[in-house]
Amino acid sequence: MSAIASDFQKNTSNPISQNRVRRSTVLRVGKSLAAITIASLLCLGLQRFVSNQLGNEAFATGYTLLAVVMALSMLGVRKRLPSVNLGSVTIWQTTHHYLGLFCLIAYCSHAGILANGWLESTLAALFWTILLTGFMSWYINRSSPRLLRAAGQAILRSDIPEARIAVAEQAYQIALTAAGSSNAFVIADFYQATLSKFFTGPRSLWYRILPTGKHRRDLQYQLGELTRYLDENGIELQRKMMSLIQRRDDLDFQSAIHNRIRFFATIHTVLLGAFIVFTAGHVVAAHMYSSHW
Amino acid sequence: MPTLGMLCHCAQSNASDSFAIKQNQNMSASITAIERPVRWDHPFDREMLSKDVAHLLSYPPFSKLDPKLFSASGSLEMILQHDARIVRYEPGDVIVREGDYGNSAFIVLRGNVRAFLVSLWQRQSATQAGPAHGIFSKLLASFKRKANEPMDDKLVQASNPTNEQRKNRGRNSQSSHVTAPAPSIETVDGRSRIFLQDLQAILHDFQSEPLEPGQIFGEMAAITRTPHRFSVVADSPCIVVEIRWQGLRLLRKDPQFRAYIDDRYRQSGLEMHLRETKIFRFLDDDTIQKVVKATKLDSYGELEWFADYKSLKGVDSNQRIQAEPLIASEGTPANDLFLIRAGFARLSFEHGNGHQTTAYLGSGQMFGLDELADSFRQPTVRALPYQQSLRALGFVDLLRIPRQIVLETLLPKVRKSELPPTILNPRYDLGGSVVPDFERNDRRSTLETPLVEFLVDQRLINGRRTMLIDLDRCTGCDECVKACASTHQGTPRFIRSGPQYGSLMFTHACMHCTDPVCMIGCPTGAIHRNPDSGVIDINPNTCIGCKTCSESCPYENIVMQQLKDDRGNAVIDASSKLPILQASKCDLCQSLPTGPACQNACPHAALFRLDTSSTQPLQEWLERKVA
Repeated sequence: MSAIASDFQKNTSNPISQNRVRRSTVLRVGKSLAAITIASLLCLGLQRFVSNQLGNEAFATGYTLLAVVMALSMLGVRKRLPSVNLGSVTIWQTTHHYLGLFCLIAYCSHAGILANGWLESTLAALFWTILLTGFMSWYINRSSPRLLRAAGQAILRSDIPEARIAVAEQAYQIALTAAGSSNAFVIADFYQATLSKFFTGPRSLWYRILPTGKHRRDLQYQLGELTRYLDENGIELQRKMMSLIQRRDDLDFQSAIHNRIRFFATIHTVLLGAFIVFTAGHVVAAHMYSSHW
Repeated sequence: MPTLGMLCHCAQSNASDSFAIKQNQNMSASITAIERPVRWDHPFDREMLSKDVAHLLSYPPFSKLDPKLFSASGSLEMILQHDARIVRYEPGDVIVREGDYGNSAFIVLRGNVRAFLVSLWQRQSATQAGPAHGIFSKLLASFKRKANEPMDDKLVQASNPTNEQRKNRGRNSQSSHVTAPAPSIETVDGRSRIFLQDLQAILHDFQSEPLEPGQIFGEMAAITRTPHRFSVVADSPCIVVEIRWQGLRLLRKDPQFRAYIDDRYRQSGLEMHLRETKIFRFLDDDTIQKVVKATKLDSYGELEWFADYKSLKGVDSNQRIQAEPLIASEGTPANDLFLIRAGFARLSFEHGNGHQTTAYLGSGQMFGLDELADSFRQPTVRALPYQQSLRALGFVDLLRIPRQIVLETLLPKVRKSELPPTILNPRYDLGGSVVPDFERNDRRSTLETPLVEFLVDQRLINGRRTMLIDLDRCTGCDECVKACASTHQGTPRFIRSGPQYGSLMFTHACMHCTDPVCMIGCPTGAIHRNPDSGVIDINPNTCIGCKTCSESCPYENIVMQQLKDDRGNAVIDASSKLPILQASKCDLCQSLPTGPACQNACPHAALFRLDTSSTQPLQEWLERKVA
């Protein structure tokens, strides 16, 4: 008894363990910064070295950038090989993040911030968009779990349509019950006028991009305003309808968040593919029109 | 899932195999028709002949069984022919190895075997190396990970045993330079054989008991679905009959055989457990025997507890607790020390109008020691009653040692430093009533109570490899499900949903339980525990799709799926035209070098597996997360 009970009596805010983890976090961040700094210095050193050797530094930085981009795209390959012992995807993803940061340095040393010419401008536009969507994906992946948790019980994305139908069916049944009661028919009227569309129809495009609880609060406020027309049974029906509005909104919210995650990940991946194709063209063009390596 | 290729292989390997495919030419191209697999399509040993069975029936205990008690479709002869096999062992052969999970009982037919009552091998915790921290350590660890990493502590050779271990190796241990035996492995007739070299030296160094013809062993592990607690080695050329659990269960229909098994189980289990209890490791043989005589072995609840659990699932938690068999009640005199042998028990105390769970106890843990140690330290002060109640969760097997024996025989031989601390703030005072300011003093222990109650109520305490998802990290990207599907012919073996506690989701994935009740009813032994890794696996070649395991699993972690051939065509029964179903569950990706694909595929490190049969791993994980 004492062994297990004491496990739970251990305070989770054990100062020794907290200090240890704080140290390890500082160490981890320090290591990451050091790795990025070393990589950047190497990049600059390579540039300087090639320049001193009277070589074409654009080729050195360009091929460095190409290598990094190819390494970045390997994450997608790793994900498609789950049964091959290549290390966990978490490690690959973390490496992808660091390489992404290094890629920014490599790109700036190669092309600067802006570029001239249609091919180079396209490449620049693609690069900055990929970088932006990458950052967005990273941020969304960090923040979404907490948003999803705040929206009630976690539900599989594939189960959301079915859950919506179930909620709509329950709301319809409540409205039917209310319609049969002389002291609750206002709920049925409100359902027919307003809630029916909410429960059975899709949410607006704006909501899907930036989901907020405004519409849900409006509906709940309006439903709440009907209290004075209701008896005890009617109030119970109203309470159930309120919770269904909340449930439907939670489902829509979770759906919007899931779609947002997928949207940025897809755009990021597709544009990376396009970037590699355009880069290949750029490499060929560079070799064709440059007489000096 | 078996593929058509695998099934064809079965057919080619044995023409008389009733599991052979009969490709129906008249059937549509998208359907494959086969004969529905039935029980005993795959006997334990194909070379078991009728004359062997007749021979077996002339030996006790089989000769004492009443054939009339068995049905025509499952006669005694049929059981022995299909669920038993006769195995010959050479001197030094390891028949049963401690720590391995047992699926069979063994009866010595001829020759002598010896049971080692002391551990031949030292145990090394699988987690001793500690979790990897940092990207580079994790990277290294992920490459080093082995697919068949045992879930249990690894048995390793103890090349340098400690003095304490030497002393504990029993009365035969004369030499101070005892080394653990080195097991060797070789393959004979297609079967792996583990044997010990220099058996005579091992018999000299380690305490062992002879088992003579007619004696049974290994039945405890088979009945309780737990690891073997001792090793059994052939002492001379011997012949042993091995009966798999499915046959053993049927043989237990005979009341005499059942009584014989139960009696053996109680007698040998009791002594073995006392010897294995850490704080009693300094007891000599005479003391052990004295304690054994006074100790009772009690069982609470049903072995097939899942039925009651399922029926009470939606019931109010207070009612559920009341329905659990009460082993010891708080406030009553602490007259016994309880040692849990198998199963789980709930520790709780009355709180307001209900019961508050403080912890759960598993195999090897004790109840009542705090109170009895208090009396031992202060013999002149009136004894404290039990401070908490102990209730059986499902099935519990426990040893009950009387207070007098504990105080006079056991505790004087326990190191003072290993005794539990004095109870400073008793919940129940010396008269047995509630101390009013107890709650204020004990507030810290209620910190994690909801989580403990959740684990207990959901019976997640049974999990050895429980899949958890940290919802503070999971984005719902489904990479885990995709990885699982792609490694299992397109069908995932788990559902990414399940009971939630805060940010923790306990997904519907096989937990490879401590007490795998899914195995109880399997008529063919298709669902079994891998003796080496401890993973619960389903043999697709012997699964007949009876749904017993799926219906027994209290966690809904086993699903029935339609069998498909390697082209993705549905497989149906040739005669009834009904689909052939097979049980499907997480196999922990045993065949992959990477280990569980789901875990490796998670980009956010949100999915992991923990041993929830003990609170420590979860507690450590929570501490890391909070910090």
